[in-house]
Amino acid sequence: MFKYIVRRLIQSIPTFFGITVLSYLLLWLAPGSVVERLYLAPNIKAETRARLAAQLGIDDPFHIQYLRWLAGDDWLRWDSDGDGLADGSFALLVPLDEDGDGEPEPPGDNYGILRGDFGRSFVKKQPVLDIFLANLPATLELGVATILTALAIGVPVGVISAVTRGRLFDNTSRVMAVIFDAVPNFYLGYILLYIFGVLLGLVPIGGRCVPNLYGVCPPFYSRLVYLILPTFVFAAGFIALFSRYVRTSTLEVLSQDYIRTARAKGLSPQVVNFRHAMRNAMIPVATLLGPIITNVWAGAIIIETVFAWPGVGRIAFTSAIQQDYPVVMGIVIFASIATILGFLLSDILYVLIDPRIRLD
Amino acid sequence: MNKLARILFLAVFVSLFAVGASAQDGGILIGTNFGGDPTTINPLLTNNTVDLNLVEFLFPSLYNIDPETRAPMKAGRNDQDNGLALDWTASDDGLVYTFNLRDDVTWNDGAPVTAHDYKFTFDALASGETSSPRGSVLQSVEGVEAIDDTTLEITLKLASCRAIDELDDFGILPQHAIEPLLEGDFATMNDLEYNKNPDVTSGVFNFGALVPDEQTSLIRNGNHRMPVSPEGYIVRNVPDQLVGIEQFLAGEVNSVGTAGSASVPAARMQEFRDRSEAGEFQTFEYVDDGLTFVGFNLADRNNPANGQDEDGNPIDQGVHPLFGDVRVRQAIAQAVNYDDIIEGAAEGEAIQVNSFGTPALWGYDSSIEPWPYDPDAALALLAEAGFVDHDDDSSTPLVATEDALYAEAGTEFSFEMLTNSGNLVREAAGTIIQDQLGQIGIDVDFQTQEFGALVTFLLGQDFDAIMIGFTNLAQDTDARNVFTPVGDTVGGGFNFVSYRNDRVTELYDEALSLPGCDLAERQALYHEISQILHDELPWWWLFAPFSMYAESNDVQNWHPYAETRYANMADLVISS
Repeated sequence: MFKYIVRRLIQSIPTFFGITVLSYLLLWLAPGSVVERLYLAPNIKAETRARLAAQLGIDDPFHIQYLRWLAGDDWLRWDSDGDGLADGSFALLVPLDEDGDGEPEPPGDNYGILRGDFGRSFVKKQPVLDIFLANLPATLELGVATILTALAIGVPVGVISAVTRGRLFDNTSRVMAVIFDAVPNFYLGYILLYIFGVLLGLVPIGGRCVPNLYGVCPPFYSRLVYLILPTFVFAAGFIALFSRYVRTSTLEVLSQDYIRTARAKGLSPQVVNFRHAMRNAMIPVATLLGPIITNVWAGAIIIETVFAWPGVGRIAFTSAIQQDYPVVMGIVIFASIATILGFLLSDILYVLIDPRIRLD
Repeated sequence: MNKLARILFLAVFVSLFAVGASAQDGGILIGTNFGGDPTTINPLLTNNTVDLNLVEFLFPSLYNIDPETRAPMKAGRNDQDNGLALDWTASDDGLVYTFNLRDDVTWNDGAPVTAHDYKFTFDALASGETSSPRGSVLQSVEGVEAIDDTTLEITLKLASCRAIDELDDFGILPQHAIEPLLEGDFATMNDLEYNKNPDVTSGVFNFGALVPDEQTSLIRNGNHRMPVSPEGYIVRNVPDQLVGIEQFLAGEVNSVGTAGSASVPAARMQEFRDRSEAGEFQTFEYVDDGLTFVGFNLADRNNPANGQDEDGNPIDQGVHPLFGDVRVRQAIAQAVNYDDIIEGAAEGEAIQVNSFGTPALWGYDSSIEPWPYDPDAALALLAEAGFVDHDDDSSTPLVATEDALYAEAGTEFSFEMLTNSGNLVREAAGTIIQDQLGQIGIDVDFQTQEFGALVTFLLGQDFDAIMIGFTNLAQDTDARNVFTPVGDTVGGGFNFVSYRNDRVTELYDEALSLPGCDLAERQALYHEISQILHDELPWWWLFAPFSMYAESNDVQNWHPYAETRYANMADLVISS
């Protein structure tokens, strides 16, 4: 299995680079720029906007911008004598005196993502990694709670539905699964916020922590009330998905000979259904985990916006709107890695759950 | 079980502690912000309203602004506001301004705020090394000298009645705190930690904390010469306006919007009005300082060109085949029912405007009659301009005859109108315009574009007509950059419609260089400009929206003004 994992990781490298080129190209092709979005006003001169664009490097051609982001620019224009001015450059790509004012430009100071430098946000002027890490705990909190909730509800519901096939519980759960799957979660979010937040006042209307002057957010177990609605709304679609997969899979397993044998041996229905049947019925669930991790990333954008949840999805949304390329690209990178690892995790779980499967 | 009980007890205890931390003496003012996190809290580097709403409570400015008239106002000693100028004088030629500054304003570390701080901030701007967007003041200012701690001398390049406005275009930074961090290079200011966490400030509040995508807090400056009552001011970051409004109605926050943004949407103003009258909360309404309009491209969109060369000589830009004729523009202005637009698009919460500006600005001339709805007059004007109904079928477009000034005979009266997608008011207004112009034989291809794409069309002067809005217009209605050839530059200028009228240019210049800068005389000049712009319609003047502040009843002694929610922060008492 180790060889398989290594091979999969090596295979993912070209995929990863393909994603970065395509993503950067799409951002670059988008009309307008961060400067026009932030500084478009009659009292701000066109020359000022041009200067700000040059400071950010967004007036450079695509290949220079991409190279700077990928591999940095300290090798494109460098300062060997330490006087703060560049004295050498990779002239094929960037001239020493780019603006033609007779003075060399400052040396490059970006290292690029290949050397762990994700750049600085055009808008927030902070390292992208800092921005990402500041919001990551909120997204992890919500994402983990969502997946656990979906598993905790979806799997038992699927098993019980299969066991009680055609009866009230089964029919009700199938109808609910269709509803949870069909209703857009932003809409479900608004409805539940209105009922439980506005009308009943049982939960706060969005947010993650009690507002306070010092910006302190207590541990999650002391503010579960903030987590209930976004988790449930986010998990609703996954509950539907899990319950339907597990139901189908369990029905298939229940008709197997070894289940009949277990029953014939006089084992209790609980032992047969949950110990013998459920483990085998879980195999499809394992294959779902990879895509679900990807979906949690993507779905966070909507859920976090509706519930004012300060996670990575919020950064992705606002940065895309503001055309803050470094941040968007940083999130694309993290999401790509999560997706690649998620699918790999699915494969590994597959083996762990079903010993008959071997990875070569 | 015992373990579970202990965990539950701990959870409840910590929850109580967390809630208790926010309920301190003096009360905490909590607002909502729909515009994202502050990007920087450095008053020199910012240009967005989220940042500016915080900056106003943290940094000194050159002078105070009268909240009623929004004109520059001389400070009194011991004023709560952070304007420094006690008074100022201008030299006879209007080129040198001398400001006499207060000596009782201090930074929160005890150092005095002085003229040297203003000079330091200006020098940072003038270096061109910072990412400040506030370079327009450099067009006017030759140099700044701090004669002593309380005397500031500013020399202008040209006498300008707007100079006084421009000199206060940025907040003042603490030289003693920032200069050592720069290591002699103003460029390093862009990345200072200070920009996110300004520890040395000089306002009624100190900076508290920024929790990304969640909240920003300010904490009462207990050492201020006039400490305010609220213990602090928290701005919650709520990306969805609908959710923010429900938070307000549920009592989770004190206000919809922040210090300078109103944010009650037009669709809910009547509900808020009714509930306010019922005593549920407080509201304050005003006409916004922004307007929505349709810009007509007067030049040939197929060959965009600047309005003038470097020596000021006109450049041939061609003429738009339809909008080059002023009669066509006037016909369009009379072909649409403005009540329908205001009711249908702006929920009735707007006022028709007659020219550039809004009734909120002193340069606006309310005596000019807005364009009426008169489709018969519109058709007559179009016929005079050479556009007729050639087949007696009102469902087909009018066509140009030989009499048309710029359109070739046989050309159908059809044009493209753009606006930005996602702006529901403009999308609705565009649909109404498309429908009503269609009824008199004008075919409008109404399209919505993503904002970035729209800006590319706008600044590239590659459009027929474009519906957008200007917000936060300056009180001084000087708009040389918008309606004279100075601003007619492809790719960046704001005279994107390529309007040129030498009399308008002359009047703008006169209004800026008027000796003594008498407000009434300048107002008369702006009124003459307004009449010309009304008649010639380089923009089709549509409406200025109403704005509404909503504040909970917990906030006592609240006396807001247009564009200024908390003019009297010192008097506010938060009762819960």
